[in-house]
Amino acid sequence: MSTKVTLSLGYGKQLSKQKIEVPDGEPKPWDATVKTKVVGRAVPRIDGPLKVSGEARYTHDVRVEGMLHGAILRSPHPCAVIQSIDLSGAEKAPGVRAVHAMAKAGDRMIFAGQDIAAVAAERPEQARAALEAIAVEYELQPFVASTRGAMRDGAPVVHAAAVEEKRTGADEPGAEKAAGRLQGNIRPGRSQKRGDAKRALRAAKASFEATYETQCHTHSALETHGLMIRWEAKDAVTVWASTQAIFGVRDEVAAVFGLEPAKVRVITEFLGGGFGAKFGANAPGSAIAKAAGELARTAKAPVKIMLDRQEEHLCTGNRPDSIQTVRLGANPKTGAITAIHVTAHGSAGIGTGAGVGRNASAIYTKVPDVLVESADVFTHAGPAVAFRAPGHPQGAFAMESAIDELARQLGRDPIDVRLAHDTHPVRRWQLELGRERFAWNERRREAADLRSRNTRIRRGVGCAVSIWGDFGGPDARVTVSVARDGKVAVKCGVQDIGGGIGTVMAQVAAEVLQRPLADVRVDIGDSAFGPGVGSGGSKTTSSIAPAVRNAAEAAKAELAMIASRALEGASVKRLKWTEKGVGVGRQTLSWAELCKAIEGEAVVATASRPRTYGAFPKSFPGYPTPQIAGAQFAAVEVDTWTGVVRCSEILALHDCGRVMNEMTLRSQINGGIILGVGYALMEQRVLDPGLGVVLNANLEGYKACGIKDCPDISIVLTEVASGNNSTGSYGIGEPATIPTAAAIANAVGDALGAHVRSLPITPGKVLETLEAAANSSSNSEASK
Amino acid sequence: MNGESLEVEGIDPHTTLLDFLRDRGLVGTKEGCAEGECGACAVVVLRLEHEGPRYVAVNACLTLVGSVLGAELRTVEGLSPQPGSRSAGRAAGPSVAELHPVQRAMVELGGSQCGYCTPGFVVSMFAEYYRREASLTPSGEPGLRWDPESVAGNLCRCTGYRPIREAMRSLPLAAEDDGFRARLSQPLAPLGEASLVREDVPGGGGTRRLHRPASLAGALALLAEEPAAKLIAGGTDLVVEVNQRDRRWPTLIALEAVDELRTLELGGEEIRIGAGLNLSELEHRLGGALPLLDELFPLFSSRLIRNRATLGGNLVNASPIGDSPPALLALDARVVLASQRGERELPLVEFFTGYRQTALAPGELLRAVIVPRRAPTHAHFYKVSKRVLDDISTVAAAFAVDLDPASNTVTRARLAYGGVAATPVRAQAVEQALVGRPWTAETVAELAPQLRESFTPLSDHRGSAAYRQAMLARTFEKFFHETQAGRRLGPQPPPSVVLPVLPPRPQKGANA
Repeated sequence: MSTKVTLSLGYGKQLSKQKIEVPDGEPKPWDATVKTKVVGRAVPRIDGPLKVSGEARYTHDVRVEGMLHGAILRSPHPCAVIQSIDLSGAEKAPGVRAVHAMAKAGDRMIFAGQDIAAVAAERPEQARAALEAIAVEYELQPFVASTRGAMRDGAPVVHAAAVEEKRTGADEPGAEKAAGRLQGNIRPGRSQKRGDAKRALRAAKASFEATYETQCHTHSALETHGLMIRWEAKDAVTVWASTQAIFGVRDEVAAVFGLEPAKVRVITEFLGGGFGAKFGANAPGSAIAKAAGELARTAKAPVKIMLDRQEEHLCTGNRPDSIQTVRLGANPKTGAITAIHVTAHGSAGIGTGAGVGRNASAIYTKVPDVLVESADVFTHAGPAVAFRAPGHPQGAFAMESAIDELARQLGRDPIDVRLAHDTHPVRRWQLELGRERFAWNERRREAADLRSRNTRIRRGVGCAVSIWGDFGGPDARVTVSVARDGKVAVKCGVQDIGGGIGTVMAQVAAEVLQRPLADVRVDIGDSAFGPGVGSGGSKTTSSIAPAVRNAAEAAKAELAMIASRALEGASVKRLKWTEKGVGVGRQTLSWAELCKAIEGEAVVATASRPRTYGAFPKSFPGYPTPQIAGAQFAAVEVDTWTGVVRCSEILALHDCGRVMNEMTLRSQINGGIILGVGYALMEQRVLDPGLGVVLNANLEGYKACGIKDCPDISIVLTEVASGNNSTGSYGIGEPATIPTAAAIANAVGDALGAHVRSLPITPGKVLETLEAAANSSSNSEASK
Repeated sequence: MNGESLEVEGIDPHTTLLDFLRDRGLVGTKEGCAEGECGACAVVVLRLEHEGPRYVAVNACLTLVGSVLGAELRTVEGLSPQPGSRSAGRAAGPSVAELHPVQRAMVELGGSQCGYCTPGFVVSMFAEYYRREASLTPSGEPGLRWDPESVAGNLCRCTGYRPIREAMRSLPLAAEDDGFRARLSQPLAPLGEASLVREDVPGGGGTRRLHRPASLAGALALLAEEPAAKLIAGGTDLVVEVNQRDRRWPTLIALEAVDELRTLELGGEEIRIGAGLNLSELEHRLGGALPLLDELFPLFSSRLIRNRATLGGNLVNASPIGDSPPALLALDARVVLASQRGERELPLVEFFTGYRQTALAPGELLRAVIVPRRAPTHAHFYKVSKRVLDDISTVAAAFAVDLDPASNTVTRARLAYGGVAATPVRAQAVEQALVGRPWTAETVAELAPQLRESFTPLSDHRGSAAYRQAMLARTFEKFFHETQAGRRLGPQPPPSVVLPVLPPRPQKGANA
């Protein structure tokens, strides 16, 4: 069943021979000794010309014969019972071809933005106009829109009955989720536990406690959620969807309409971003697939529903907010942390999943006693959904902030405190490398100098770390074919969320078959190309790349048989492959000659990849897969008069297994960082507590980073050979955004000498923090 | 359109260029927000400006079709020098050699990730590639000097912008034989009169019209005939209402083609700015004549918006958080209002009569803004916002003071703010209190509390009332200190201008 192979694994100069059990049929994994020619190179995206010329077709762009436009009426109230709905006005409206009720009299609407009814019309403006002809009477009910408000006794209750957990493929495997019994609006979750943190805290000689808050953050992908459904027959549909999980959409559409999955074809040629929110056919807070399918069935025409930017903010998911109290126990003499206790509450609106990641429980493994308790708090707001490293950025912000504040209290360097409690050798290496590259000590001295002189402009540096796992697995099947004309084709029904998986697929196939990249054609983005994998959990690359290698190796094995026959029965093992072709001794066969010898049209091989078989040097807690380490350093400038913070520099050190494509990899890291900068400094969904509606459901009031907000980014790739799969690849999408906001917060703390304990770090909060610090220091001076 | 003629017929005059293009299958131009915030819909307009034709990038989502009838336009699909045939297959498309240099750089340096924002970036970069002001290096030699601000109105959620910046920096000047460059030296006909009429708008909309007169007299006549008609200049605010709040008007009068509204007179005593001049053209035509406005321009929304937005539009809009009113108030600007009855002049401070209300009478339009040329001793503009560029101010402030050089006393002061009241305002009591006082830290410190109490701002998602109130004084204190330093503070204040945190509190030891 399996074979033991010896691989050279490790990182940097820390390489060692490790015996890894590899399933039979698996090629020998690429380890640290293997030098690849095409894989790893900074190859421009193969679909770049389509994107820059406007020819790439996104779901929003797809037009088919007879297509109708759908639109959805949404509840304007955070909590209301529908007294009556009259759809007749919409049915008679110009251009309307179908109307579909999504709620009925007696239904209780529990967030502003919830589905009421949908219409399909010939023109989009007709569909919108028809919505206004729908008469709905509501009986308003009390609501609660703030997380703290929802936790109070007597707060209006959001869910009267138990709530079913909804998970998507973008959720972190095994992450803690709300599971306890509902108490009012609070639903306690599973806890992460080691030892007895409460007892250890009582026994600690020094302690630290603070409460940290993070905001609700929206995905705001540039392409909004949307899809088009066309009924091909009574039991078959084609769906064009803006999704990061083609097969997830297929299964959900099949379930919603009672179809066989094989009768559902899903196409996502190009996708304008997802970040975790585009996993299902329906949007997290809006049944768009159900509506489009029903409308299409009634109208007997394809129906497209593309949400607008406002709907995108209201009902397509978000990153939950959080209120986290962190308690640390420490030994003031040694600086050792003896206990960590985190109590976290967060609101995923009407949904579940307000976790806080694993920084506290799984990074500082030398801390003997740890307890992380988290709970969902329900509010009358649009549901949250997985968002790039669900839970982790908020948990990293609280935990990494607390470490820095404790270090300040104990008069220790925050890097030293981290090193003293973290056993992951790669993260330790990253911290040491970062300390040196970032001129950490010099800059900390400069920050202290500016603080002591009380200058207007302050500077500071901070760092924070991340943990993630390699969750790649055997979901996808890749087909590699070599045709008689020598062209290579690679097929898989995976979608490209933007990471550039198609380019990586071409590189891996070109590497194995030793063909020029231009001769490899890649077909993705269609369920007809065979099982893919959802782009969540940073698992696209490590699910697909090894499968491509395996399929390409299988095709090559078949070609080897052909070569062996053509070369007068030479043993397959003795064949020498080059970029020109194949040979044995002085006999050679060019690639063209070899391919001409193919019987039939092509050699076709299909393959998957097995479950992870190696996790060197350290595994992800609870999983036999590699733990992905990361560390980021931030430098900020703070104008203490206005409170405006600018992040001027980020140094990102990330473990990324074996690099498949340095250009797309760096781009992913850049993108993760800029998302983190926005999370740290500006992005925030604002819900009016008095009205229960979102005040900035647009991009005018919800600001993401622009080009001038972009810090100077330096990226250090700390490659690791972990022997996890045949290519040694793993993902980076999520790790890259986890520590950014925390590092920035720590840098602001360094600049001010006081910590801003709430995200985003707005100018107002900076001034309040400075004022509070000034008051407390003048009080303590007075008391001396 | 992309070198071919397009017929426009039977459309509602409220139709945006974006919807129009996408309806016709030109779907390379994307919709990301329909409010001018993301730039995914940017298209190129070849516009006749004072010094000749110029490529400008504009948001198609905020441009009505009626505004660009007769114009030469290019979408992302029309930028390739030799439009190639689309080869079959997903990973194909035009070959790299067929692409425009800007597109090629974006491919080769990885400036596109998910790619949804890419067409907009490419269009903004294309316009920048041919921008006259970008074609000289700081030393005056030919060479491309990219201004990252040229893409500040384009939002990217994937790449972190770095590869885009690298793509911009990698480009050389346009070649001599570049056809797009050659087009700039060919004549371009000015936009003429045009109109769009849509009868029997479904849903009882009646008849809707858009008139685009080509003279001021024509515009005033139309306005006299129908005083309720809605005037549209750049449309960067009005079309947001069309898109987001489904606003419709029976009659729109587009001021695009009225030359009298696009004049700039640089007189010895004062500068007269046509109200219909877009901010980008105004910026380069002023050539630094009003330094305070040069501080304002880069902070005013984004290049994509400024390419359409007019100074007049910003004033008539009368938003309390508009950026130009505080600057113009500080400069004692006056406005010229015109109707068929004639013209009248009004100090700007009297133009704003209430929340989003102005002194414009029915039948009247804002013709020009007059700014006295007299340079104040010190004048600066400040905008406090979360994002560096393309953000709405939490507080905007513009200050101008005149000092008597002998005594260093204030002879005249203007302290103007946005975002602190229902209209743009001046802190007139403090202005008066400053006159005759020495321009010193003591004076400023003494008046700061009064300044803080001058207005009672509101709390909203951009900032709390308390924060805004603090900024009333802080921005002024910052202004004072910058006048002392003799220039704007760099990112790292040198020790001589290291300043205490305000409010001052006792310090142990010497303060540097």
